[in-house]
Amino acid sequence: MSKGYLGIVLHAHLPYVRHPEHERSLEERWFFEAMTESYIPLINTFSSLLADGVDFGVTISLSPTLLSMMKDPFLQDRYARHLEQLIELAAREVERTKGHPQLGRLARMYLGMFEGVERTFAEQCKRDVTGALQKLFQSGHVELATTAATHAYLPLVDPDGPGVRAQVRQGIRYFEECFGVRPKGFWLPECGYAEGLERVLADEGIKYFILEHHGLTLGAPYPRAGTFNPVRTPAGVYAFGRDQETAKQVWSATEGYPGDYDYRDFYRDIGFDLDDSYIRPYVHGDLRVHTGIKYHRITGPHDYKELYDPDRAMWRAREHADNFVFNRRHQIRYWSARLPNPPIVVAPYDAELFGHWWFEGPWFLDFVFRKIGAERDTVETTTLSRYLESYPDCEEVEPSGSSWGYKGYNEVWLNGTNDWVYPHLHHAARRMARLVRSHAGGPEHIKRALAQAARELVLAQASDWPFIMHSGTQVGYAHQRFVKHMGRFLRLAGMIETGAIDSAFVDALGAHDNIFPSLDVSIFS
Amino acid sequence: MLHEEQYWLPEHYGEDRVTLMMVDPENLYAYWEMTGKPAGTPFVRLFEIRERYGKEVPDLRLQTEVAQRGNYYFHNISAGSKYFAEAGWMTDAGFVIVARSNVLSTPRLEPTAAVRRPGAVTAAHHFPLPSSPAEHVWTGR
Repeated sequence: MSKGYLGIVLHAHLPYVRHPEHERSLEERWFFEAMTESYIPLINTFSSLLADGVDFGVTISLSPTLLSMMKDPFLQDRYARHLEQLIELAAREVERTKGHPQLGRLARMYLGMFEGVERTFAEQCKRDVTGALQKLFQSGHVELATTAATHAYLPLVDPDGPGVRAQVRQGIRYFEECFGVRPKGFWLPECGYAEGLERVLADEGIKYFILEHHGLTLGAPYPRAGTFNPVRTPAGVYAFGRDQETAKQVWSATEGYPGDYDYRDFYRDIGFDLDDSYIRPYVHGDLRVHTGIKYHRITGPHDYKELYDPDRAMWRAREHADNFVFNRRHQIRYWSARLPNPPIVVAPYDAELFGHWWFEGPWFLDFVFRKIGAERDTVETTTLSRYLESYPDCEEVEPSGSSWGYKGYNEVWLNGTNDWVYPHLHHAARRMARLVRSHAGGPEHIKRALAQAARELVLAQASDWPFIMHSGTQVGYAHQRFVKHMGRFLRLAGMIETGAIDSAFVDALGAHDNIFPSLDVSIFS
Repeated sequence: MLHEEQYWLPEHYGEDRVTLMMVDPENLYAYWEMTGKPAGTPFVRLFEIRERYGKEVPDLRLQTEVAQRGNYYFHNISAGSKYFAEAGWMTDAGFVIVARSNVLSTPRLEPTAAVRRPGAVTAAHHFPLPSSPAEHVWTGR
């Protein structure tokens, strides 16, 4: 009989990177790499757990920008071409390394892996992986949740304005469009919480959200159970708190599992190692990029790298999974005697950590779920809404402003590198609400312009742009994307206000920035 | 095919407005715009809303001479309090308000004494303040 629960939450998000204006786009590769290395391997992991009858529960939040890209035929075509090229490169690698037993084995591993990904993508999913997610969702073992429409950082996107509600509403509506039901859970982008957000979520029918640890433990009154039981906010929506121990065991750069020296090294990639003439067709023109084929293990805190040994790495992933489960058992055994409801350890991670950054991550998850599913002596894995259905009586607590970013608050998204975006965003959200009030009942060509203005605004609101400006890599891209979406919004707003609609421009923009085709501008009302 | 010129965003929008935002519980950020001809020296003022005798009373915490349009970071303010900002003109006759901001509540940095109840899992025992993924290498974002 289990005494408590482990609620693993995987948050999957990428910014909207669709560039039909370029023959090849560097940023679209972000999406392709995450598909190949994380999303499809994770779908396969959970599908195999289901097929083997493993009793497990996991929650996955999917950003609407990511879902849009997964469903977009243009990106599906490009991804299919990308996979073809990757398989071609892996096959050439098998040929090139056939005289070297260790390298040859690794090359064959990658070829098999990419062919497997292609089978899932093309044959099982018919290119739309949201169908596979839907099947997992319907099994009851995987709960899907939503987040803000374009992953806007809600504490800053529009203080006291209509922008926050629009992001929440569109996040929920697009989820419904994709999966046919309303989501129960809402992932706050970057765990960013500010006072009052729970009221917006409650108004829109959301049942729960997740707070960074101190968002709960600095709440009022102090929650008796710390983060080990959810709380009910005064608005009626529930809040779970992120567990620190599970965060540290996986995230910590120094002590976390993914830094083990037996694991595959992320940075050493044949895209940088091999001759230009050989690798050029598979990278980005003159620019060397990651191909996904990496032959070395982390080895140590130095540049010297030894060859990767998948058997050794898999063994290490199993050890880490055992250690992870052992620690959860101790945590739960301790807290179960002290809390009103059975404890739940809520462990949220970026989905892209598993497979993309931490190559062995999907194996680790597979081992964790299988071990807990087989033993069921102290810990059970669960989805967050399944826990709430069993234990709806919770203490009432008002959460505290917080995020999971550096220093725990808003600094990553508000500092000298990115503060200039906010006057534009706030002005645009107010103006959009005014435009909806005055023009939503207008003729068709005005309505089309209005809907496109709303698309441009939500694209400008993405948390990714201020984050990238702060992080210092790809800053030019984030800057350019923000200015373009905001510039397009302002141009459309001017057209709507004067009645001088350039329909050719609106249509061209609609084909270019085609996120949320059925967007209803009333989200801004 | 989409044909468009390069966009230049406006430096201001012609609105009398000041907006207050939180960086963290001890640091705030304000941006403002005052339209029209200068009617004195432009100033931004930060008020903390305190409770006195059951009433909320604004206390002037800081005021600084600024440009007619701009932004400013307020450092080392008190956590767990409420704030608003004003932008306006400082004249010989006093401060003339042009715009007042949203009211912002900053989070506490410690659990309050009143909520340390018997049986509660206390932060001091089990929860040092968090490290966050943003400082680690594993995140792609």
